[in-house]
Amino acid sequence: MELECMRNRKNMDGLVLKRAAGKTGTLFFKVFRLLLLAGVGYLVIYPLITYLSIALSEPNDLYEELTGWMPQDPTFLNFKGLFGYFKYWDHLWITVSIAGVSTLLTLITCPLVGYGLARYRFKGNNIVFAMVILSIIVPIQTAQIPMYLDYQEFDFFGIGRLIGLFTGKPLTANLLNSYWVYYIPALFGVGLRSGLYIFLFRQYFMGMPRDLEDAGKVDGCSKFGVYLRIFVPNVKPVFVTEFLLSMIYYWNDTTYSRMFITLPDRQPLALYVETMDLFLNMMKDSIEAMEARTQLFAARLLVVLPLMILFIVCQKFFIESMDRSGIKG
Amino acid sequence: MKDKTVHKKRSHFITKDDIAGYLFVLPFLIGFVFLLAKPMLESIVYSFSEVLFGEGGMTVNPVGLENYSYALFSDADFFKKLISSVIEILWNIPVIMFFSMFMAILLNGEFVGRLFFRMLLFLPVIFAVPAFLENIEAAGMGGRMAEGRDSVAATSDTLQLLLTDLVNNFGLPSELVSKLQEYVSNIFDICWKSGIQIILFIIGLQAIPSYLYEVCELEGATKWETFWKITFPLLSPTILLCLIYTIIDLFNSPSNQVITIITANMGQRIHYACAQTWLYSLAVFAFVLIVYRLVAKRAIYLD
Repeated sequence: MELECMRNRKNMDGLVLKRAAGKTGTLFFKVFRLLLLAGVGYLVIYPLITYLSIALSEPNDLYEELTGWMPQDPTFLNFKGLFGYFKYWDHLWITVSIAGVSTLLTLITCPLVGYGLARYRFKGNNIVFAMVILSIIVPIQTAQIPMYLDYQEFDFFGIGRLIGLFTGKPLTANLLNSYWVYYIPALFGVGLRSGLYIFLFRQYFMGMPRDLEDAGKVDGCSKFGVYLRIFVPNVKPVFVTEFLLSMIYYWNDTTYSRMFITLPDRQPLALYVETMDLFLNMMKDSIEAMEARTQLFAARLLVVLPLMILFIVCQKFFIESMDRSGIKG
Repeated sequence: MKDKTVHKKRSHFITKDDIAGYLFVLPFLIGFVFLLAKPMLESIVYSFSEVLFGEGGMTVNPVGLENYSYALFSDADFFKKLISSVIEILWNIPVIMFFSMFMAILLNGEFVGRLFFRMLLFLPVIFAVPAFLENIEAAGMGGRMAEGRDSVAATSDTLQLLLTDLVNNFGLPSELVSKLQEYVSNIFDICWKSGIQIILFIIGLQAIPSYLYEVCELEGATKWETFWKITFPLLSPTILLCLIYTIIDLFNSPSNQVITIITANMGQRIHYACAQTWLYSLAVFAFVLIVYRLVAKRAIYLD
């Protein structure tokens, strides 16, 4: 008993000494941390400020050597000019529905598949996992033309063709320029970067203790019940992260959209603005192009602005949930 | 791949658990087989043929290995860019991993303004449209743009001078230093490519049970020891995830040189672009597989 007391005492003394020595070290660390974060923050925020500054300038201002960070007299001229021909709200609504619906669909499928891969050691598990990785490695452009043809005569996984055998007329639908080209792959785990989210969920499900599973079984949950009631609530931050990432990818995507959405009126924001950019590059040096160039900066800001708002709305939940993630001892 | 999560003995029969597993992954299997595999197979067929667009639509004439041999032996540009982009990526991976893990550990600590900085570092993810950055780079037209770039360049110039000093004074191998200089001038890119990894690492850090750290403190372990004995091993699944993510992201980003060539070729010579992509994808797949095998073996899952 006494010995234990002595030992405790010794430990305590050690702690006090260590703290005293650490004090200057901590201060140094704090300053270092602040400087580093500020530096990195500057690098991150710099392009954004540049964008804002150009979007608020008159075209002539760009060539003014004397202008500093911000134009001397900021104008909304670019935005006004832009809204003359750019149906922002229509395209915004299209983008919101594409990104929103697809993301919700990936939120249903990806955790399910990730869970199956992480928690069930069925035959061919490795092969399925390799397929998941393959689906994100092969650039989507490779399959561009076959996919285009497939969606032009989409036969609902062969069912349409099968019906055709009996009726003589295959049941197909032309999905080009419709948003089903986003929703169907998203539902079946092969949407934009879906494989990545499957991998993400797999990793976090794998790290969870086996006791959880047993606890569910004792309580009489079915296999799906164990997943839904026990595992899903425990990876909430992963869900929030996936939601944000998927929203952002669908929002900013142009590669995939360009393949299937050819009607300008039906294009999502990012693609529409990129088409504007390409168009501008063609007419390079004309005066109109100069004017449109600054408008383009305004347009690009408008594309990402809703995402920023979304992030600011989500961030409280996002960052809080990050703090509460995992199973604490 | 060694999983410690499942202890079941393998049997020759398909068990109830197996069926449940198949049911969980079924949506993906359907999607893969019907939506991806078919177009992929067709593009493989294209890569072994010549695809011509005529009035009667598309004709596909088999030509054997011609496209592949052309890509590997005759097209100097493709092969050169393939090699240079692989080398560039190989150098970037450790830097991004180190940077993002370091930032995550910093941002995981308690301090004033943590929320603000976490948000700030997530911003690049939102703007990760390559066009967003390219526009700034391309628009080097106005005096102001150049000036803004200069101020970033000036900071890295100072660092570069410092590095040159290091060579002269300490006799470091100049190759290493030139690599370091490259990193310094690329620091901007690295910041912009690490946003998601930082978030993934923060989630991973938070998942480490706090009692382990309490035990460490009681035992009198230093922070350094705690990191190597607790944080690093338990972060290994996240490291694996980030590693694979970084590799795929770097290889598949639209600004990657090889992807640019492939996209350009898609317009006219589809068969050739397909051959290029499959060569490229195979290389990336092999690389991912090797990395996965190496890291997954060492990954520790808390069970």
